[in-house]
Amino acid sequence: MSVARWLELRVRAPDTDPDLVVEALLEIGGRAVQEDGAWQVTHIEDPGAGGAIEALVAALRARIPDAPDVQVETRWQRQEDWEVFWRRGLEARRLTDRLVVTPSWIETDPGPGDLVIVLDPKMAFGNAEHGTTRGCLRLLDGLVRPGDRLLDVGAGSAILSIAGALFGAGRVEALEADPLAIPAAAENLERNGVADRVSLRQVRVTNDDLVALPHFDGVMANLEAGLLRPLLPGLAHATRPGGWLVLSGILDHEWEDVRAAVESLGLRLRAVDADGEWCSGLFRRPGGD
Amino acid sequence: MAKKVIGFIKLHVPGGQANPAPPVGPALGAHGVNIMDFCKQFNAKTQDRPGLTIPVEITVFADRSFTFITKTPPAAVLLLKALGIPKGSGEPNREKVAKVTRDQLREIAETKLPDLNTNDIDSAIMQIAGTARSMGIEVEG
Repeated sequence: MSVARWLELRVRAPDTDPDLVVEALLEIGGRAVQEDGAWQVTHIEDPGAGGAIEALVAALRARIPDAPDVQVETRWQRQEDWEVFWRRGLEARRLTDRLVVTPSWIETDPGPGDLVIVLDPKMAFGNAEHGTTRGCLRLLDGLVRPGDRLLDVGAGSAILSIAGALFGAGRVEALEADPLAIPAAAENLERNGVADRVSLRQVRVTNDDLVALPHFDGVMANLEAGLLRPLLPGLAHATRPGGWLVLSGILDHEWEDVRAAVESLGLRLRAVDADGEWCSGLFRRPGGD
Repeated sequence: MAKKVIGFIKLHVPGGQANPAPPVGPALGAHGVNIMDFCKQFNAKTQDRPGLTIPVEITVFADRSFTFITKTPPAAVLLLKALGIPKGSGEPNREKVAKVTRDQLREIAETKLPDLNTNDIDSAIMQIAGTARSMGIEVEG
């Protein structure tokens, strides 16, 4: 990109159809328009000197139906490398003694026994930037035994499924309702080398669906308390006797209510992870081995 | 997943033409959104409407993941493009700037139908005709 700076054009036209303002901004050279409150904003490559800015503003005004109170403001926007600008603040995070989650552009130097999940924020929820995901990952470490069968309800980016597979699970069933999240999840499974052990399906799961599933050694559900509550019987049912259930997406003021509901189904609380305002819980179903 | 919303961005982008240049880059970058992934997904979704202005609403979640919805182009914009005129009338009751045919109205109504509060094409045509009149465009027939 050879542009050194951009002319930012901000237009406020309260008596004019805002869609017509958008079109006018695009016609004079804007690549897109952002709505910023009552203002419509676009950027144009530095038009140079010699009255070029005034000419642009005049061209803009000529395209907007007459209105006495149209406001036009201009200022400069410095050129940045926008393709990498958004990455600021993202870094590799070590969540447990052996588990590291990192964006793809950061080189990591894993130690012996370290497990590294490579995952970028995209159109699927679930990375190390959120307390619910971090809490689940911390609880999962040490739970999974070689060959375990796991269920991941509301898989999002599939980060919990990936972790389960890296921890040794033989098979993971990942269910996600959002069709937009599926391609990102599939890409993450491939990138982390576990696609052959994780079955990813797009389904808005119901309690009946869960009850119809076979038992799993471990069940993970990082949702929201409002979504979790009606699914709790099914999630408990899907957990084999002696197996474990990890729940998250629960705000601290919702925690006691969810905990009591799970324990009323016969499961027992084993551990809680608190991360900011979010709680994650590890429950065990009695019986089995 | 516990999708706590931290940002909401409204843009208008020509179909198939999203790129990281301003205003898209700064708008998404300010919220830590993966700009190239948005551009790729938006362009794929709108490649059948190249160059047509697409309103898009992006929701950003607390872990910097995001989702977006696209809407159909505004009726006023579709009318201007269909009729090849730069703008509507400043005095729509007195000054008429163009005429629109029933067939043109139907075509625009079919495009807009997903975003209108009706599934009935005749009702949709009536709504588009109303927009046309408010812009000083005469409705034929």
